Amino acid sequence: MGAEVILFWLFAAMAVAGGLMAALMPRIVHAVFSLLLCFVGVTGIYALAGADFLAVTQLVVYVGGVLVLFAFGVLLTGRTALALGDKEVRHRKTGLLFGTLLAAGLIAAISRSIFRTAAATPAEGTTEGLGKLLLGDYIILFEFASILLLVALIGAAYLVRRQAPPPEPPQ
Amino acid sequence: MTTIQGVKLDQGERAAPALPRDILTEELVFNMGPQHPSTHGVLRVVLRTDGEVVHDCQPLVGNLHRCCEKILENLTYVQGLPYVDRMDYLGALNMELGLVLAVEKAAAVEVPKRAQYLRVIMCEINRVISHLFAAGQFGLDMGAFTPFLYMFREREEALTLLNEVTGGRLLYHYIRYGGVTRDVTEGWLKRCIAWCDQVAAHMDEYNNLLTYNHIFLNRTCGVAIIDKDTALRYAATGPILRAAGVARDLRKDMPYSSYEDFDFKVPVGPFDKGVVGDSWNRHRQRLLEIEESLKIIRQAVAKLPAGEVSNAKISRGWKAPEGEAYVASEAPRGEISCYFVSDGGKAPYRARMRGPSFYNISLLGETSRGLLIGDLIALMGSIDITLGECDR
Amino acid sequence: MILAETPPLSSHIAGWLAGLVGTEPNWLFAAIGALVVSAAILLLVVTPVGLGGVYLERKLAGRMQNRRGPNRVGPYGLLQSLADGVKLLAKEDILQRGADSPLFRFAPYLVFMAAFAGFVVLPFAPGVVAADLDVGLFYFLALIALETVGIVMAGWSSNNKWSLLGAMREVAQVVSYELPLGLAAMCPALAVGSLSLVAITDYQAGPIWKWLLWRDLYWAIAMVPAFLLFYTAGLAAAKRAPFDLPEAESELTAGFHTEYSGMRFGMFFLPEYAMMLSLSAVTSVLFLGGYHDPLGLSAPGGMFAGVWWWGLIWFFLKTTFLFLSQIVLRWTLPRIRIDQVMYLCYKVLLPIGMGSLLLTAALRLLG
Repeated sequence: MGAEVILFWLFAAMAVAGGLMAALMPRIVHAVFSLLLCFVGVTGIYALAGADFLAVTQLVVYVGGVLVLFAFGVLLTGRTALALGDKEVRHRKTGLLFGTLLAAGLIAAISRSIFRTAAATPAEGTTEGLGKLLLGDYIILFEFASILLLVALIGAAYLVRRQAPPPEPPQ
Repeated sequence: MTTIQGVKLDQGERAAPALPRDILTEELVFNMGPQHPSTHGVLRVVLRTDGEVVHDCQPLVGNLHRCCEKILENLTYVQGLPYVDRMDYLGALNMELGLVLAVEKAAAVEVPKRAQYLRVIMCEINRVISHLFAAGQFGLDMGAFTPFLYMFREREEALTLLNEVTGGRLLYHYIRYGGVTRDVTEGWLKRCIAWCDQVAAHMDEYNNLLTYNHIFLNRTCGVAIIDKDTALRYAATGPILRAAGVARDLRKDMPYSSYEDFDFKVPVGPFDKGVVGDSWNRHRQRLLEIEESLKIIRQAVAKLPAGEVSNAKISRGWKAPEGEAYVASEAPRGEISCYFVSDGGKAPYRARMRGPSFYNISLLGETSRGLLIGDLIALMGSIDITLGECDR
Repeated sequence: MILAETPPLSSHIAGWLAGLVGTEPNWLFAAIGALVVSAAILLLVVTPVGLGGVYLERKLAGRMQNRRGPNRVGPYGLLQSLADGVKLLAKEDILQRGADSPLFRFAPYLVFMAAFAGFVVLPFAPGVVAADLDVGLFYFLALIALETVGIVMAGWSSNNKWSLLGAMREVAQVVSYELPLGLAAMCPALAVGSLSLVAITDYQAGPIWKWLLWRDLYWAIAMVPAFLLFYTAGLAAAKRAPFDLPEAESELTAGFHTEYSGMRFGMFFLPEYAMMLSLSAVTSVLFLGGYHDPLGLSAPGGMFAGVWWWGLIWFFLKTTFLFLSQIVLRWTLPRIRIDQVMYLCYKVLLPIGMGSLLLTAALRLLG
């Protein structure tokens, strides 16, 4: 079982390092792209846990979607030169307070939970099982989630629409 | 007012349609060129865009300025003639004809009929290959790599023909004051007709591959429209003007060098697809003009009169008598004209050449407003500028 | 557990190595075995195939354009790619002032990784696959998404507005075309009932009418649009003409990799051909039967069942056919403008994709 342990620590280190870099990197562009490291680490952990479908979905959604969105947001709004120590960064104290509260809550929750070790992770893939659950027992929730995404999409499109140009003044 | 390296870009004088934006975005200022694959030479274009949409486009010419006209004033007539070739290097013979006609008019020099017909043949061959180059380059700008090389196949044969007679492939120094340098052989005339047949046979290929290609039509129809009024306001000439619907061709309107002896049509927009004055029409205009030029070449070869090819009175130290003249002629890119003044000295007093690209380029500013960058490339490619004659 | 099931080849290597040292093969040898297999695939398959692909493109492009293509270096110019590689290695590595150095350096490797990681799920021949993932097809599509991050990184860190514009265009294009690509890929997956590329290939075991593209003839109504859709969306995802705006040579000089020189540029150049090849390979696996021959001899019970070199030949024939068709398209068609690309994606291809998915589901239910 040595290989899995080493790989787990490798991926975990990647995820934690990526997260830390994202929080602490001096330049915001570097911080955004170090999220890539974090997401790939999480992908590896999913894969090690036997959740193959989830691992690939993590790649598609987080790396291909969320990370690209962050990158666009930072690069297109032109705030790329923002650094951690800048005067313009506001709400530092509030951020620290909430971060500490969140960390305390997470640590408390994790230390109280019981981690069951599975006997032996099954060799078959999870795709079929997931599909049966999503479209069987949890179909309503699945549909609601899609509608939620649709509403968000329409809302975003509405927010960024261009106004019609004002009518030309008569010459 | 923003300033880039001393160039002022005014932001509101010319009424650019400004849409009120909900989200404040920054305007990007791009510099296209002087080294750029699409600017057809050393042209520098300063673009102001909002992402992909062009707000303003200012061409900065002058990178190829070589003081040709000033040099012409310092060299003798015979010495100065090669400089005119280098102005429009893709239509060099037409450029030579421009200067030579003005000098001959001022000096009242008679040109033999055979020389006039030979001039017509060579200039029309030059027009065909210049249009082939322009059309191919336009396709290249649009991403179609292959038609460019097919058109160059035709160009190669023509350059071989021209090389045989004039001694040069790109720059000829063939048309001189009083005639041309060398006569042609019967064999050459036969090969010339064979080449005409080859080009005519391949026009279908170009039309299928490029002109009527669905993607190309989507890229160029209705794109970058230069209508009649805009073209006339900016003194644009040549295929741009004709594709915009104005039937002006100096070979018909002010015939020179025996062009009145030939029967040919002048294609005028609109054509079967797109809107009059759009990029597709300009492209189609050039291809149709190729076919007309082939007709002229065939007629000239058939009716070629016997006789001298040069007025024997012209020698190396020839000086033009006092006088002035203005002659306009039709080059592939538009109207070139030469205002020539002589004071009887060994060099011209003034030989002012009008290069059409200088005026055609000025269309860029107004026409580019509101275009996407891809459309801007279509515009520049379809206007077909040559920096040599723009900057001189 | 996907890692416990190492494919036979790497466990053979692990066993051999362990035997060499004289111990039982444990996890270390398994890891080394897996690494050796991956490296072998990279070296023996991907790199020659990438370099050969470049050579094939230049020769074919030359012949289409009435010229010969490379014919100086080596007989028939076969060593041209090697010479190009040496040239790229010898070039000066220009790091622009103002370019964001760590990102600038890392971006080519990310793109390289994404393109070549796709080869591990390709079934080259019966039994010859680096990793028979249960989610192989999905994994392959995910790597395309990974590549876009590398390209945004490259475009941004070049400190060049033209590169940034090219990168933005590219990401818009690829991310949009992942939708029809995914929909089209779902049709064979739905028909077979698995995302594993090996399973999809084995479903098509048999003669030519067992290929998914026209299986038993009636599948064609769903699969032919899906095939065309996958092919077109694959062209856009591989940034090939007519969708090659991100590298539009005549518009943006070289798009997002303008500022890269020498081998860094090679790191972008080679993955482009690798991506073309792997997309052709996946298309042939999904629709054209993968490593099965048209006569059905490699089906179970046939003469060549399980014979690795027979399957390899057919796999490469099909992949090369699609690759050549991509080359011919590139040198024939002009480039589509970015807004027309988007229009095509959302208003034409996406409805077609949904339609074919619907038809596939209907056929699966009925048949």
